[in-house]
Amino acid sequence: MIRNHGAVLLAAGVLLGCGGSTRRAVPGQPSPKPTNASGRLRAGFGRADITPPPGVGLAGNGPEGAMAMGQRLRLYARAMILEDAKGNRLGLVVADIPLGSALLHRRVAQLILDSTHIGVDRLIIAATHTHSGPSHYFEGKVYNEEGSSVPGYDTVMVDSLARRIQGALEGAAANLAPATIAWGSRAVWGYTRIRSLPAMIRNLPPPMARPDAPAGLAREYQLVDPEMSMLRVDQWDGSGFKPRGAFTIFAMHGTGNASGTVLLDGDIHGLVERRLERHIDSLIDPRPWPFVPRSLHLFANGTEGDVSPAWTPQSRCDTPTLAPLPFLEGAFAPTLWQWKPPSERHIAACVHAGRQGVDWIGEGVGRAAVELYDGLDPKAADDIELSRAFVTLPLRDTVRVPGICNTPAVGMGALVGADDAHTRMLGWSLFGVFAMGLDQGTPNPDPKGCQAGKHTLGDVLVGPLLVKPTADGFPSHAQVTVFQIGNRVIGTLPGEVTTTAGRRMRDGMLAAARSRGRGMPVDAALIMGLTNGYLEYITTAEEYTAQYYEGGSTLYGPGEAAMFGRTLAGLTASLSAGDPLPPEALLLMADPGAPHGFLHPRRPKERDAQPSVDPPTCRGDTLFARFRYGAVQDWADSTGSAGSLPRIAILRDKTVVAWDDNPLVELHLLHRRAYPARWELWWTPSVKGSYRVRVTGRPDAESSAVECGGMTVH
Amino acid sequence: MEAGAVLHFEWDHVSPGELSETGVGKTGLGEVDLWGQLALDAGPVRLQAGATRYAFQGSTAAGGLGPDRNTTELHVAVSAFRAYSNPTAALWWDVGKVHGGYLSLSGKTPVLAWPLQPFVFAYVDAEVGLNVGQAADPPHPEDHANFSQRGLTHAALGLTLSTRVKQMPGLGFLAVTGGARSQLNLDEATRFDGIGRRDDIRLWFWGGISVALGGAARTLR
Repeated sequence: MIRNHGAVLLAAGVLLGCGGSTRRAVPGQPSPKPTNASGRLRAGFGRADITPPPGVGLAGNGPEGAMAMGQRLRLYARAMILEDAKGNRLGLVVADIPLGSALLHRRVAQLILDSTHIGVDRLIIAATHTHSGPSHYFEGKVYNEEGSSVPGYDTVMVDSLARRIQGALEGAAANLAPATIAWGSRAVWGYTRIRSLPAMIRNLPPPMARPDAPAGLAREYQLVDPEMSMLRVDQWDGSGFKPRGAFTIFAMHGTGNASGTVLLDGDIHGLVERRLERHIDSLIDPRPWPFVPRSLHLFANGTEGDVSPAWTPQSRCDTPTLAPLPFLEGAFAPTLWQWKPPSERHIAACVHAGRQGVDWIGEGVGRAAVELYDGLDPKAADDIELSRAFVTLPLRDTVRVPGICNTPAVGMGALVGADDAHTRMLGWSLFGVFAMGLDQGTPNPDPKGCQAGKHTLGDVLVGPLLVKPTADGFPSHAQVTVFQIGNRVIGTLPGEVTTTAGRRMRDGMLAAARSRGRGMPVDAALIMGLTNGYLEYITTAEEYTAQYYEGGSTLYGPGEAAMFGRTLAGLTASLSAGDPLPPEALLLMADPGAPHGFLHPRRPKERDAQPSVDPPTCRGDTLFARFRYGAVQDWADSTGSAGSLPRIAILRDKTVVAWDDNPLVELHLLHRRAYPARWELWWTPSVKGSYRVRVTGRPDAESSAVECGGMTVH
Repeated sequence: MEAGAVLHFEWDHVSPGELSETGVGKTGLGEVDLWGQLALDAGPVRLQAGATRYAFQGSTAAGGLGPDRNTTELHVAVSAFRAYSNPTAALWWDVGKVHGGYLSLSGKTPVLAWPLQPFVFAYVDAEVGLNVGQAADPPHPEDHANFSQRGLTHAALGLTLSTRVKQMPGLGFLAVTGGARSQLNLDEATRFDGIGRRDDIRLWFWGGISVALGGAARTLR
């Protein structure tokens, strides 16, 4: 009991996280010169199941993004290939994933080049931005490590996603058929709002609501860009042109689900996609088609950088708080700390409130999409040319890409998260007294250097020591495409563009298109965000000065939006078809970090795992059923084939009434290490009846029947 | 209910007159502290009560601390856990030898914590010791005591870094902790640093490894 603390050394350890840059060149091949001219506009559609297994991180909410422990809606990659009369093709993919990835884009382009004749310049892979989708496939190490609470880059994730998207595109190429198209647009009010209004109102001229904005809406709801633009594509089926699919751009974050959710899910976008697909299916054949829709709705994101869905405050979960660990705390051991999570009851309540919002917004926006679709009248467009322009920008080369900072930096406003999902760092102050700027709207009081008013953690803590290794992990290149379909030019950017920045970009593109004096006339310019890579947000210079979440996440400084605007205008002016790309347009470097395997290719014994299902129970208005199926780290579907049958189905008598791609069916993994994996199904039937659960396998497993339902109608 | 043991090893040879548990020329295990306590969490407040048996392993003949110094202390403590302030007051009462009390007032405040794996926590802690009866008893100066007088014994300030280097989902975690601690010595016993040597202020670095298995450690994020 020596209280004067003699030099008693227990053990000494110093841990330094050291790791060199793993930047490497990512190959890219341009589209070959078209050789197969059909003389008609043709279109083809394909779909792939990209639902990963549980265990992956849910990306988009940083440290608050949970480890996936089940699924609700399946995640899909929806593909459409258009081919003009001269054989120029354009491959469009909208995937239910959180963020774009240049690595994924290049990998898919490599895989499909020979089979589809589509190279990097004619392939667009867009993310819906669901924050309930997987991480681990990004070209920027930072996003693999910090995009969710599960860190790491996974080559199996990249390869699996790429192979599945390849399947969707090759499926689309295989069913190319003459097509008719129609563009249209409409305003959708009341389901989205500007989430960083104090930053937006810094713009000059001040933002104005459109004249058709409903008078009763709050200002943040009036200032959004409400435009939903849709390309309806009908396809020749041998007897006539039939409804087949649509490609829509609408600006809205995929953040309807609360950050506390642990289920893979398509979020609001998943419901809007399915709502129109079911409608198109009903136009093709009025008989019910219960499983994966036959038609496709590619629902891409627009300039959603500062646009939230109309979630309610009660649907946002509290963040963990810092506290000493209650055990081992005392005089005998050094204090260990924890991020103490909110109570399970709180999480359940905010997740439930989030689902109510997802359902309401999904239904409203989905209904608007159906109305817009029904109002379109596709016409032959055999005379259109699918022109494109493409460039890969080396963002750290300020000679080739002037106007931006050559070193990326993240501001304090970004570390604390947007209003959609704050992180646990929000409001943190030194000793609880000295503010560190960990809040939105806290620009650097002493602006200096290229990043000017951005307040970084390096300013406060360790300065330049933090800047270099952090900068290495961010993307260094940006792939930008402009393409033209009919009378619309569409610019794609690997980031999240704010409403005002997007408006300026569109104006620039439109002016460039109208001044070029050749090609088809252009009536409108559109922006697709979150495509072919990810480098966070793109704000105007004025918004950047506010250093809200979006400004803090504009990596390359206040000149980013203007630079991308100039790039898009320049590409619009140089749209062309049938010509090769210069090699410098293709160079891309990526630094995904060291591989860190979560997933593994399907092993033979798992392929043969026999499913089983316990007798279901009914508690309150919910049916519960435990079953064994597959392996935890294995993809439920080994090929990505969307299939025509459910994996898990609920039957009433002999009729399938719900399955594992229904917003009311939740599959919760019970145990991460059990094999075959142990799951629990939750489902709330709207009609009282006798239900059984079937799990597909060889042979199928089917439960006994249970009486349930009828108490709640959704 | 919690229980544990703390083993103190000396790895360096000491010279005559230097402070040591093992004794001159000896190294190895110097002290075994066996402790047990009951802890009750009531919202942000934690109450603890327990006992510690100090068993010395050194050689009295070599100037170390031998079994004749073994003793037992009872303790009660109250702590408050909040985001920034984590104060603790603990009273220790020796029931084996000196039959006196020692009061420790301490507090911890986190500086910043990295929210992603590997979690890194940095915190500052401060402590003041107050002797309320563990000083030498004038009528019985031969009795062993820990301090020379009543009153403040020391004031300390430390900075600690802790990181969970290995999270083992479903099992627990491994944490490495280390830090620097400075101490202002106010009692002659705390100042003592060998014959003829006194330290008013001392600074040292320390480190440790913690392995937490089961219970809440399995699912911590």
